[in-house]
Amino acid sequence: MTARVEFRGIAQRFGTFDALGGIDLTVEAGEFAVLLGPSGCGKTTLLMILAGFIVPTRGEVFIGDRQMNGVPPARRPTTTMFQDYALFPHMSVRANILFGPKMQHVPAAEAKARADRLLAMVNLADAATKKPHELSGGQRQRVALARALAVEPDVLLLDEPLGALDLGLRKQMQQELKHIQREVGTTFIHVTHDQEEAMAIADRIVVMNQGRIEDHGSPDRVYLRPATLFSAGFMGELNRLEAEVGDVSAELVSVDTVAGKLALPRTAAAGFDPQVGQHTILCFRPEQCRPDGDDSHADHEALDLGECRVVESAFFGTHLRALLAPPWAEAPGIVAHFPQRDVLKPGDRTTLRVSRDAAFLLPVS
Amino acid sequence: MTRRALGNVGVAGYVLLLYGFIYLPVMTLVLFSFQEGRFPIPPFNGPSLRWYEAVFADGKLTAALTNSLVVALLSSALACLLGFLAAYGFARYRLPGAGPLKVMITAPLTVSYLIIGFGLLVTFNMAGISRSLWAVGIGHVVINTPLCFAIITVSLGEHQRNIERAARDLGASDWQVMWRVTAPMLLPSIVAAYFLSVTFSWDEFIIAFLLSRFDVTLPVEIWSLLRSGLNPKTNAVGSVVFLASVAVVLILEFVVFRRYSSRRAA
Repeated sequence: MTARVEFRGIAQRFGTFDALGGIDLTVEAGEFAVLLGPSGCGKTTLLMILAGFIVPTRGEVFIGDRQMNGVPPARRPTTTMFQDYALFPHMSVRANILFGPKMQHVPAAEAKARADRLLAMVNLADAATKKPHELSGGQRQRVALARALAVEPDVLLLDEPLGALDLGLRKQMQQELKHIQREVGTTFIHVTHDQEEAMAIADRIVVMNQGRIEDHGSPDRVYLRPATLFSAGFMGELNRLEAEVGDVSAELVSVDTVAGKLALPRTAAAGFDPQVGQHTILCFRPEQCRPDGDDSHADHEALDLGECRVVESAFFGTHLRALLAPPWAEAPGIVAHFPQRDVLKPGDRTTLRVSRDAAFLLPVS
Repeated sequence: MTRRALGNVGVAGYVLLLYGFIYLPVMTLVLFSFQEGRFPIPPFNGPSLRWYEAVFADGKLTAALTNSLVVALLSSALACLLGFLAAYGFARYRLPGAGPLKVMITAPLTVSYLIIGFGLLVTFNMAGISRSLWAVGIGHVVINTPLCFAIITVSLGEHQRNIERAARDLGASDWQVMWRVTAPMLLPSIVAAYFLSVTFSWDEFIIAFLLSRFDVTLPVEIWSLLRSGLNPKTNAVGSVVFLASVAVVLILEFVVFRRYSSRRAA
């Protein structure tokens, strides 16, 4: 019902194009892992290799302790939920769900019990006799999930299953997916290009780019302390400043930037060992900016980046989003989110402060 | 306003002319099949069903009608099966020379039935196969397989491929995928291909004429009837042929395409 998944040195070449270049990754049994990246990054290819639809050029796939190379999709303990759901249009919802157990010669009574249980789980008991074309997008998605789980796979593969749904329904389905995954305990491997979706459902996010893994870890770790600039930018909006490493001590790293000399906690450089004179990028996210007059923290806990001119501002409901021109440049270059009660108009001036604990350093790649 | 009204009248007149051009000959044929007198020429003096009675009392005509029906239903079934298998093969497997082979399988659609019939006649002669209904049936499989292939091939898209993948992923073998998923999924276009093929075979004359000897199909029987001169009986049998074709087209329209389009729209 659940198993560990391991990729060892998986490489995939399509003609002259390297789709994947040496992927090593382990997903623990019962984990909800999300492969996240822009289109063409190789995430779907990796999923199809795990499903057995693509034979990798190099490398090995393990599910549990079994080496899977050469095992066809039907004989793997995986099932795939396709992006377009791929429901059988000529069969009822129930027949769709029963198809897998029937193919695997599960006794009829047992198959029926499974179907009933799954129909109840995905809230479709009333729609069991309907055909797929009579269902809404969200219902089809649930049928696809129930059909995939009916063969009791160790690993469920989800290929952008929520891509076709509108925003509200997508959020609801994210919650349901997460809930069902916890209930059945099956390892879920989910592919998406939507970082918010990834954070909403994942136990672990694997950020991919150009056929490589950029970063992987828990959602908060990948968002707050990303391993690479790509990962940092992909997970959310990001402000960057060039920074040259000055002194490095056990507690502090000081860097020279256009905004002056700044002292950061040593933990700001999480994934690498900063060397004196090294070129790095100081990163901080819009919501890590502090508004003027926020005295909830002492001044020494914030990085002072100087007085900025407000170029644009807009009310976003949860926050006020401002585009700022910093003192060292005429062009607007900093995006900041301030509390919703703040009032900032274009032309106003505000001192830009950034939480010292939140800013992080990344090496120039 | 008047210009617009004039325009509308013009359009209506054009439509009337166009449809008249297409349907007038058939309407005349059907009308004079109800003629009371012995000649299918004006003035019309009817209506009467006596010529229909004559048709169904004519043993040769009813035998030919049965022959036509049997040949159409069986040859179309075979053409459909072969067309489906070919379409499936080309769509799902990488075959050497698939491009030219695909062209060659659809090319007979553009060749005249006379040439195909003539070629078959020569070939059957050399192979020592005598002219018979069987030969006609084979001829109709030859002309209808490309048609069935073409219709079924266009409905085998990427979406269906994913559905087949899903079936395979759930444990179905290649045969199970084909018979439990692909074929039922393509049923609308398979049925459409079948019915079209039936109407083509039902109407077909040249091949049937060249390849049959004692047992003939209806168009061939009608032709020999026509040689002895016009009479309302030929109109009546022609109307029967026409109405059968219309019935098939209507079935196709209402049963198959309706269902298919509602499914598509959903």
